Amino acid sequence: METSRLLLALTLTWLPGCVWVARLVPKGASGRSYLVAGYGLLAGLIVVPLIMRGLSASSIPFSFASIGLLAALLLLAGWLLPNQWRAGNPAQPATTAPATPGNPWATLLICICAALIVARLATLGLEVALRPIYAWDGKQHWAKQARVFFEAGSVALYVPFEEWLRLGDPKVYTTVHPDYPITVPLLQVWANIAIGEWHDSLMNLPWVLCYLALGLIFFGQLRAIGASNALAIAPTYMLLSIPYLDTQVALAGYADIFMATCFLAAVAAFYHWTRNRSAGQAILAIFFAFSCLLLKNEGLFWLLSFAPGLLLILLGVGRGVVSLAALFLLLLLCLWLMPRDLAIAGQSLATIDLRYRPESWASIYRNFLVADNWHLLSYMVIALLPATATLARPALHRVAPVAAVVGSAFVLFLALYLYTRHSVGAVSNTSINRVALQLVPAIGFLATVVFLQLARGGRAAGDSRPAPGR
Amino acid sequence: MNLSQLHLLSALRYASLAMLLFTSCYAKAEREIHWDSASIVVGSGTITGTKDTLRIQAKADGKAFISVAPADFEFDNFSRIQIKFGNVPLGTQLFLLWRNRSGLEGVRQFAPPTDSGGTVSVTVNDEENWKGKAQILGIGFALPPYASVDIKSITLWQPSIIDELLEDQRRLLRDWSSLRPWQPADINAYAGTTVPGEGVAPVPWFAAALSGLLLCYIVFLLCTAGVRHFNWHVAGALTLVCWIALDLLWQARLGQQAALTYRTFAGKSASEKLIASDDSAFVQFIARVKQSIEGKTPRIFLASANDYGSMLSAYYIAPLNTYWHRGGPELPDRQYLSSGDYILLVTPFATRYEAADSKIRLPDDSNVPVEVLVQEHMGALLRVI
Repeated sequence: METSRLLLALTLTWLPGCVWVARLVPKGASGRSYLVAGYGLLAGLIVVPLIMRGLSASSIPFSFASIGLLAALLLLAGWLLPNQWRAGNPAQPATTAPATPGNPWATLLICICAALIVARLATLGLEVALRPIYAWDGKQHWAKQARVFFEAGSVALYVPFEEWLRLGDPKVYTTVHPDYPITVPLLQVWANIAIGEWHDSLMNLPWVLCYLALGLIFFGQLRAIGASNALAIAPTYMLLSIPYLDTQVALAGYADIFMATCFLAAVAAFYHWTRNRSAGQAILAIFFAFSCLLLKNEGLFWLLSFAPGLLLILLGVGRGVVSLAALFLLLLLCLWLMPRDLAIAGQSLATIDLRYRPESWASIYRNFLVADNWHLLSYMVIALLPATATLARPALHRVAPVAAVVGSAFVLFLALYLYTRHSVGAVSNTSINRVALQLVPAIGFLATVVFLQLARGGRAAGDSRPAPGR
Repeated sequence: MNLSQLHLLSALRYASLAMLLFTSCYAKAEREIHWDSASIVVGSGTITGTKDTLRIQAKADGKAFISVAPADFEFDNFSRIQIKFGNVPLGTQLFLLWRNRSGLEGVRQFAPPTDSGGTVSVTVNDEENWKGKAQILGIGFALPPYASVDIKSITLWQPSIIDELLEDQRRLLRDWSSLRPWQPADINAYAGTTVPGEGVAPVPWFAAALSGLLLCYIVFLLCTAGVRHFNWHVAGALTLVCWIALDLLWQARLGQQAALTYRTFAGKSASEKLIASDDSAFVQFIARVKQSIEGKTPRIFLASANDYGSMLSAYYIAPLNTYWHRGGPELPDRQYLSSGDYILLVTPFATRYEAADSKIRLPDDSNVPVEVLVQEHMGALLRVI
């Protein structure tokens, strides 16, 4: 009974997303089934909590029937929409990439990588299914809030300590971070509702689903931009095998992997859109970029990191870079003039205590180049940077907008740990890898795109548009 | 097959041939003396042995002693002793004992193997009296009374430089891949070694190996087709090979961890899993606390100087409405506490409970009358009167 309800809940989470995403990815596009499955699953993980918030706002208590019915209606609506409501221009041939050319080496590579991915998924799945919630913040914040929502059958109001004391209302709750988004706790609530009782281990199954979505999106987008199966599965395996990512799944309970997957989903769709101007990819990029706001407060900063990429698209690379430099100076001026107590995404100048903190460099070095958090990813990125300079100008221009997005996010990450009070999270080794994880899949995607450009000698497969600024 | 694949294949072929020649020529001990189970003498204890394994049963005092048959050798010529065990009971203490013909003797305690059928290697050349012509070389056992221990063989050897290198490699591999059960800090970082911050981290080692391979490829190109034929697919393949090699270590560790998780939690219900988990003590403490809490919407003020303990208590007491101000004052001012509120004290705590008056002293120095509902070594539950 428990298994069948869980399977039904999985179907009601995954299928509505797939039905809607299927309308955004043109038929015949390379990697379409992976894109639909991956983006569909992630969309489900974002939308089901939104459904729950809607129910709560309408004073309808959470139940398998109430949530499931709305998810089923969403599925039905996606199914019944008129056929012409599909993204993509049928007159324009869909992007095609070679599958596996009859090369035994490529087949061997695919088999090895697929076997390693399956082994990892099985290991992590077993950990999540059996181990009760383990990690600190999982218990301190996310799952504790989920327990309250689960028992109350609705979203409960959380306020800061002082306000809680002042209100004295027994239906109002308090926590260290009352302003954190509630998507992740609601996913745990949904899993528990499907199980029929509070379950400290099975409620974390959404983490395995998110890991699966991450792999499917990464692979699907690489296939969609023209990589062969072999060239797409190798970096997908490399991403999914990253120890810190795996640990976040095995010790499920933190929201960072959801943010990482959403940011990757948005960045990859944005890159695809910059190449093909596909409306479907634009919708995916916008939806998932804004979804970052629903997961953690720093989602606002990752959302804003798309602005430099868009600027390069609008103005062309040359003028775009100049404008970005001017905007950067303007930003510095704003920081100088901004009231110290004006809070943006929960942070103000007074709370972040802006100044240079060189002590974080040692932690950055240790965590990215010595410890096995990211396997060899940092070395690969460092090696690819000078190699990028050898790319021909059109290829560079193709990569520039997405590089601006990922680069801006990475600069923000560095600024967070080198210039704000959050440097303590680097020095004490507590938060630096968690925040880095939110960007790593997107960095991995950019690195793969650059590698593919290098491997093709700067030629791009499947492009139907000129590079910006040409 | 294109040119780059041919390059890669021939490079791999040469590398494996060189490795084979190298190990077959050099990877052997300089000197060794081997004693199998038949040539081991039991000095104290009873032999209950089988064919290939000597089983020695301790006496009532739990002691046993074995020695190897006398041989004409100098201690100085050997730096290691390797003992191959069968079954070793938990809690066994092992001692290496030796004496030379001049009467100099020594004792060295060493750790038993971590798994059944394991081999222990003891480095002895740093011992002060490990010198001169051998008279006695033996092993003493401190076992539970009448317990048995199995010995398969004893080997005295002097490793060659290659042996030393291979042993270093084996030690590194063990450090990079052996089981290390999850620790709370693992959610923040993964060092790659068994003990974070200790030992050689694998990543720089594999990065160096990858750089070496790429350099070899470039040199190979320079000597043959020219560097303009640099093929990114070959570079990618070399990177993937190094990545997989590094990842297999992580997979080995994850696999062992999954097996441990399976042994600990498989087949248990949700509540049984909590009892089997590291949180068991807090789960049971909070279950007892919850039984004493009444009312539909109680408020619980959690006071503790123990961050971890209060975090667990706050989690397991959910969904009850809890005030736990981590990093702030343990309890709020008097005006915010009402009759019927609960105060959960988790040991250790700074809040002063005055048992004689049944009162709690608050940070603003005011008093709150309370009654004690639960009092244990892990903490106490009080109700504001």
